[in-house]
Formats: sequence, C-alpha cells, structure tokens
Amino acid sequence: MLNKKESALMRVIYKKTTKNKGMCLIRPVELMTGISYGIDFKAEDLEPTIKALVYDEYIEYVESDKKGDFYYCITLLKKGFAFQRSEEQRVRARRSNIITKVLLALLGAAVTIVLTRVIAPLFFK
Amino acid sequence: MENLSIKILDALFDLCDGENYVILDQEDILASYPEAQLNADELAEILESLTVEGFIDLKYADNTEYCVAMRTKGRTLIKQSREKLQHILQENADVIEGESVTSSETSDAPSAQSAPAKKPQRPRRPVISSSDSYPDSSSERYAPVSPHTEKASSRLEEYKPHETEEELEKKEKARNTRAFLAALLGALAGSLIMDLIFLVIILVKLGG
Repeated sequence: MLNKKESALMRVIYKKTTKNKGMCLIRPVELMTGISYGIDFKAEDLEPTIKALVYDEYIEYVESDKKGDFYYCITLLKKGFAFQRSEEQRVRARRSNIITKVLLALLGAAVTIVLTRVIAPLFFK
Repeated sequence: MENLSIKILDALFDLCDGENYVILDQEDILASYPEAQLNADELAEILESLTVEGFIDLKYADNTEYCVAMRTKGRTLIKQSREKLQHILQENADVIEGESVTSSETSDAPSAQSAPAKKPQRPRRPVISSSDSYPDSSSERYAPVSPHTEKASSRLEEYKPHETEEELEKKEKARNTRAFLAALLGALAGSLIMDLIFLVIILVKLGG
C-alpha cells in the first residue's frame, strides 16, 4: 500500500509513462512540478520516494545523462501498470465504505427514532 | 552480426560514457556514421538486435531519443577490433615503408655512383633481397621479402575468393576416381599374392 507521497509521485510517473509503452525520460524538476501543491513534497523526498516505488516493484529506473542534464529513465513494471486500476479500486472501496457508514448511521438514527417514538410509549405509558 | 550493426556499435562506443546510461538523439548516432542513411525504424531495429545480442542495453526508445548503455561485451568487441585494425595498419605501414626504402635504393643506385659525396642516409629496415634469387626484371629483383610481407601475403591468400561449385565437383570426381583406382590396384595386388602363395603350395606338394 502506497502512502500519500508515493501515490502522488506514482500518479505523475504513470501519466508520463503510459504515453510511451510504459517508459519515459523525465527530469527531476518535471516530476516535482507534476505533484500537486496540496501535498507536502520536498525535493529531498524525491529520491527516497522513487526508491520506495522501486522496492515495491511498481517501477524500475536508471539514471542517465543527456548533454549534461540529469534524467531518470523510468520503466513501469507489472504493478505499475496496475496502479490506476488499484487506485480506482481503492477509491471505490473508500466510497462504498463511507456510504456503508452513512447508511449505518441513518439506520441507527431510524432505530433510535422508532425506539423513542413508537416502542417506548407503548411500555412507558 | 551485420557490418552496419558493428558500425553503429562503434559509434555508440564513442558516444557513451563508459557503461553509464546516456540519452542520445537519433541525429547524434547517425552523425557519427553519416554514410548509413537509416531511418528511425531501421536504427531502432539495429539497436534492439544489439540489445538482444548483449552488446548494449537499450532502456528507452522512441522515434527521436534512445537511452542506451554499452555492455562489457560490446565494449570488449569494439576495443579488440580497434586494436586489431591498428595492428594491421601498423603492419601495412611497415611494409609500405619497406617498399619505399627499397624503391629509393633502386632509384639512388646510379646517382650514387656518379656523385662522390653521399648524403647521410637514414637507417633502413633490413630487407632481404639477393640478386641470385630473383630474375633480372627490376620490379621483381628488388621486391622486399621481409617477414611482414610474408605475413601480408599469407593474409592475402586467406582472402582468396572461394572456389566455385564446378571446381569443387571436379575435385570430388577426381578424388573418387583416384580412390576407385587405388581399390582396384589393391585388389589386383592381393589376388596376385594369393596366386603366388597357391603356386608355391602346389609346387611344394608336387616336389614332396
């Protein structure tokens, strides 16, 4: 399970890599700019977060050089390709979880109402 | 491996920094080998074949950019072939130098007789050439027979064009005929020896 930072970075990588057969050449700056400002992601977080994604077998990468510029050459792995699907599933599961909780709360409220308004007067007249 | 692949590999050897990954534009690769007019697909195909053979590692490829690294196998191949080429060039340079020295000898010979004061000659490579072993024609007479030339000539012999199929067939036929004749001769000799033995036995029995 990815944490917030990893998910944010993975989202950027997924977007870039799926455009070209699961591979991309990307500079660290481009990765940083792809992450939304709402997430507290610093430049020094980039390297460990990428490594975490490698350990989790989402991606593999090599560091390369183009006329003096540093680039990451990132390749999506099996889990990486399934990232969006798993993200969607996660969102769906969270949504259904919230709906279930709301329904339970409503049910609880209804039961309370029934108990207080209908059944209680029958016993405590 | 194709000649073109080797040339591309040679170009990559110069463009890559050791075994690190570098991103190269298609133009970068083709600029180092301008004779080959390759399109993006052909270049990608060559790079992929080099990857499959383990000479390079191609991490990324689109129509314009390639992320490649040379593998040890590829580096070794290019290094060795360059060394070989240098060695051959050096040898050929020696041979050419030897030839030029001998030709200058021949051209200098009459002038040296007329001019009393000789110019200090530079040290020459030892060239084996005896007037007895060569006929009178000057080109053959002064032909240098150094170990280098022998090597070069043997190398040239190696590069003889292959025999044609007709020649091979003729040779095969001649070999078969020779084998048949040898077998016939063997059988004849064998039968003669046996006849002699029987004759001796008969004579011994008659005599006894």
